[in-house]
Amino acid sequence: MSYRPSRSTARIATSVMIVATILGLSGPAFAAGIGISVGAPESVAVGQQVEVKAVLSEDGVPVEGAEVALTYKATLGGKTDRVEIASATTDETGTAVMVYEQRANDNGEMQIVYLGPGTDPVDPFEFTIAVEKGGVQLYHSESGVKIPFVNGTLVILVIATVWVFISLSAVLLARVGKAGIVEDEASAESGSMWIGALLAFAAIFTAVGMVIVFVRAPLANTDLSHPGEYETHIDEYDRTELAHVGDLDPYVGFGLKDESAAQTGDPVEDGKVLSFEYACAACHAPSGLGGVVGPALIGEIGSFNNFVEEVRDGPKGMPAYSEATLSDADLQKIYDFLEAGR
Amino acid sequence: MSKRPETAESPPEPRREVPIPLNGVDRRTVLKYIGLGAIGAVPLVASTQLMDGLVSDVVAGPESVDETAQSGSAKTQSTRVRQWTMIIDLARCDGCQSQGTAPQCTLACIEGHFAPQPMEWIEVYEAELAGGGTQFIPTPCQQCENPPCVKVCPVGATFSTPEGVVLIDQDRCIGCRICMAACPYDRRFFNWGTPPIPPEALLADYNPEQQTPATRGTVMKCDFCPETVRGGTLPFCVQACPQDAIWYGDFEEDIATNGRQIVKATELISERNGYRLKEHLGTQPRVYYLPGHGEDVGRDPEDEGRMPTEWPWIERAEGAVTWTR
Amino acid sequence: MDTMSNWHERLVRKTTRPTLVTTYRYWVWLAFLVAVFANGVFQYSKQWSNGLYVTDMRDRISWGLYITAFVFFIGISHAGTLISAILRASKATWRAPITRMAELITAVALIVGASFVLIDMGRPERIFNVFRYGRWQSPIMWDVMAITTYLTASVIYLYAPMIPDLALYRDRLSNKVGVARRFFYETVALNWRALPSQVRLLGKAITIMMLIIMPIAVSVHTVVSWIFSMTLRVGWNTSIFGVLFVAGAIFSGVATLILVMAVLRRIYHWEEYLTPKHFLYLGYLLAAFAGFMIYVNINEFLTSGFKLEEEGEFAFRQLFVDDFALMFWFYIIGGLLTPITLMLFRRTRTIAGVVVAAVLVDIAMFFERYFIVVTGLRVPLMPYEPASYSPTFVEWSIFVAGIALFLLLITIALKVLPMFAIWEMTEEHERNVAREPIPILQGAHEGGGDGAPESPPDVERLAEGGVS
Repeated sequence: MSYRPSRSTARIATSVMIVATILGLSGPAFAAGIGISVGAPESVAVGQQVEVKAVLSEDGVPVEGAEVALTYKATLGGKTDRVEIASATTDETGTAVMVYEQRANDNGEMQIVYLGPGTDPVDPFEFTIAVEKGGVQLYHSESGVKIPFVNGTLVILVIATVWVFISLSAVLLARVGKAGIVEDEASAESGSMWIGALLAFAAIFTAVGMVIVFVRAPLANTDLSHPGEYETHIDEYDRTELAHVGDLDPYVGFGLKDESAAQTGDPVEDGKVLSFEYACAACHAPSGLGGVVGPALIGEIGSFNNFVEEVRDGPKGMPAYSEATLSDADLQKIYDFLEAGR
Repeated sequence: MSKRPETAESPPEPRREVPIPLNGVDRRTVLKYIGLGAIGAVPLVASTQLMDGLVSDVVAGPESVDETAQSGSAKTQSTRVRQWTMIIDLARCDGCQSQGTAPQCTLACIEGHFAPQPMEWIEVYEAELAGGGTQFIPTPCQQCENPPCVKVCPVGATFSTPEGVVLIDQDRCIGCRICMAACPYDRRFFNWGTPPIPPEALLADYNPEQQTPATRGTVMKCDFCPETVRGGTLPFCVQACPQDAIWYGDFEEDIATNGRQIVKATELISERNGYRLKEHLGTQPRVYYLPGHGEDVGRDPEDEGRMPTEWPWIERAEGAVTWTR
Repeated sequence: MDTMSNWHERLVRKTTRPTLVTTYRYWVWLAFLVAVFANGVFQYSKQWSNGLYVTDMRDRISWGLYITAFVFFIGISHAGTLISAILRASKATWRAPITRMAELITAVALIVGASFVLIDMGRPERIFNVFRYGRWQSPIMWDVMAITTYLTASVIYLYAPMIPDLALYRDRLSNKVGVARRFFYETVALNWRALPSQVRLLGKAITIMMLIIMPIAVSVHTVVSWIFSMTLRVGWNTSIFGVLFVAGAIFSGVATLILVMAVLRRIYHWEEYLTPKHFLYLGYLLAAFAGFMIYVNINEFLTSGFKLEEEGEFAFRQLFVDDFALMFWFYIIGGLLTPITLMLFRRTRTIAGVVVAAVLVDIAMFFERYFIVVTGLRVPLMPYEPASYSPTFVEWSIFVAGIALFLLLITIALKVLPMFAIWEMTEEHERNVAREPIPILQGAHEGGGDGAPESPPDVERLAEGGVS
């Protein structure tokens, strides 16, 4: 993997400085009587090495040998969960030092979780670290060796040179034809040199065309794999959308992993889940906004009877769902969900 | 193709407040879509119809300009771009032997993309283990960072996106098939005849990230479903895996999820001794494998064979032919 | 001994014969070729409407007979231009009667070869994407560029030395041919009247083309080989492919030239101009290149076979003992060893022997192209059963139509173009007459190293045993 920690060594110093101006987070956090105070920077920048200090004490006595982990709240593919990014064991002063690199782009909803020893469930200690918006790309895919002059320019030069000679020959042939026109016979023979001129024109035309194709090539097909570079040639890069960090929709689920999810008691919520269970979403997209194949359903479905009829029928290439596959009761829930959407 | 409402150079459209009639979609999301449209990019597929409606609303709307709306182009949001990756836990993959079905990642992929028979964009290979027995290797396109296929394409129909995904523009592909010769993972598929796809696939709005509908004489492959993830769900194969063996992630934020939990991607790879296929070739795949043979889900390595894949809608594919690989 | 003018008159009479005399056999032959070609077009129409589904190519063996034909014909195209340019540059005087045919074969084979790329395309109607979106980083683009350059260059190189002959045709045949051809000759002869300024300009043009076309020709087949060797496939992923392809191209090109010469010599009784000497020298060239091919093949197979990395074992097994063994050993024994053997013995060092060698070489080189393309793709990349490929009727029809097109274009050219560089032959004859006795060229080519002494009796013997 070609990830290189970017300037992290330089930044760790600054972050330690910030730690000095810590917000004094402290208080009884762990239910098992363990108290904690946390030292963390108020705000960090993306790519920065961050040091978080947790001091654990029980009734004023430092807790030694306790395992704690640092987590933050992340969202990906709609799934939101806590991700463990660092862990440490407390020393004799009850201090655990956890270092991580700031990768998330959002405000860091951090937690310090007590892992052990002991099995008593203890509440995690929560705090927030502000993350400066923006930041530079941390992960780069880089391959290849760039050698000056050994590139497209060289190829264009070689091709151009070859074509200069070819065109030159063609021009010479045209001149052969012209040289053959003797003054007094010009009227009789003048028509028969055009083939030479045509040849010369064709050769030069092809030569220029070829160089143009070559010169255009890097523009038409920018190496799109480097973030940043695509912006230079944004016109060429209109074939796909980009995903930027910290830029995701809430998870609505797709493909039911847990049957009980459809029994929430709330008909709208159930319908939402059911619509995925029966793969409506495969065509009509999550939330029924309309997708790759199916049209938008939200606000488009009309009366319930009409809706049922369409589902049982399968209009416009949509598969028909029989009573056995999808009961009227379930359909009602899906309908409610779609109606609620309106 | 989808329309491009604005170009990158045009001055920013004054943003207006739009009454949001939709459940589950907040104002921010909708405005973001508008913002994305404004940078001249292809609107999200999943919102094409929505886009069309909203854009006209915005233009016609008399409401006041909401300067504080969290919108703006992707450029101003962040210069950091997601770096998609997939981590496949072979210790949890039993080739769906326990389910008694064909590998469900493959099935879901076929249903989701209407992949023509016999294309298994994520194919579960059964490989011999050194000490006897077999392991199952679900193999999507490896999304190489040094992709041999992209390097050989004469027309730039296959390209790497800044997100690290290798895509194919079937509208541009000339069908020379040199990318298939170049791919060292056998992950490219050609529409030799009129592809067998169900009628509903023809209703789709084509997009290189969605490759639907398939057209004859062009190359296809796993597209890594980045637009699905942007839309807030996971790729079909990840959702479908009954053993949660497939993780989808982003190296830029360094996280990965299998739909159950989210973990630190690099840590998962290094703790479990992740590797990549044919690493010596220098293709630098974005797909990582965690070694195993299904032992975590109780598979005996001597238990060989998996169910063959079936194309559920194949009977509804009119006027199409099928072929074998 | 002829007088000079008698000799020249006879030369003109004999070489213009195909243009002036059209026998019923010619029409039958033409009709046959057109029929074969039309069948190919018909089969292609099926492919056009059904897609490449009508072939036996599939995902795992995704290139087949078409790409084989492409490589084969581009190879044949090296007959000409390269040989003619090398011989012209090295002032090998015996070249004069064969250069024109060689150059013609080049242009024709290039047209046929390039069209097979189009035939192989899944979306031929998108061919202009190659210019709209062409990336110079792609080996296919290199091919497009190299072949365009080579085709243009070889057409000019065919045309330039032909101008004096076309002028001769214009002056001599205008009254004997129809209005279309008269117009043609008047047009393409470019007002040639051998004025000193014209001779100077033309000489310059020919010299430039002669020099520039050699690197172009070498680059073309190197680039063709790069389509394969720029991939990571076992069997293709080798640096010697460029050399192998260029050597093989010249090898099969020489063989094809020999065949065309032999056939035309027999039909139009050109024994006086296409002498046993020409066949002998070309035979030596063939043997020399066979030797070089053996060397390159040993280099290729030993370096990869000794190590047998990854899928190498499968690649070797299928080539040396399994599916492709018959083709492979025919190529080695029939295509490489036999031509050397034939040229080694006096008894077989005849026109018949050279022609047999040429036939073997052409077949063997086709096999070589075929097994390079197919075996390279057949090696399994992942744990799956190796695929199989056997070209369908459609593919064979189109391939045969390619051969028919090749012959058809030559057949049509016979009616229109001068098949000999008459002015060069005349110049050459004048020079020879001036310095009697005719010297046999010493060591005209590297083939001479085979220990075959070039003595006049040998040449006489050849003439006796030659094809009548």
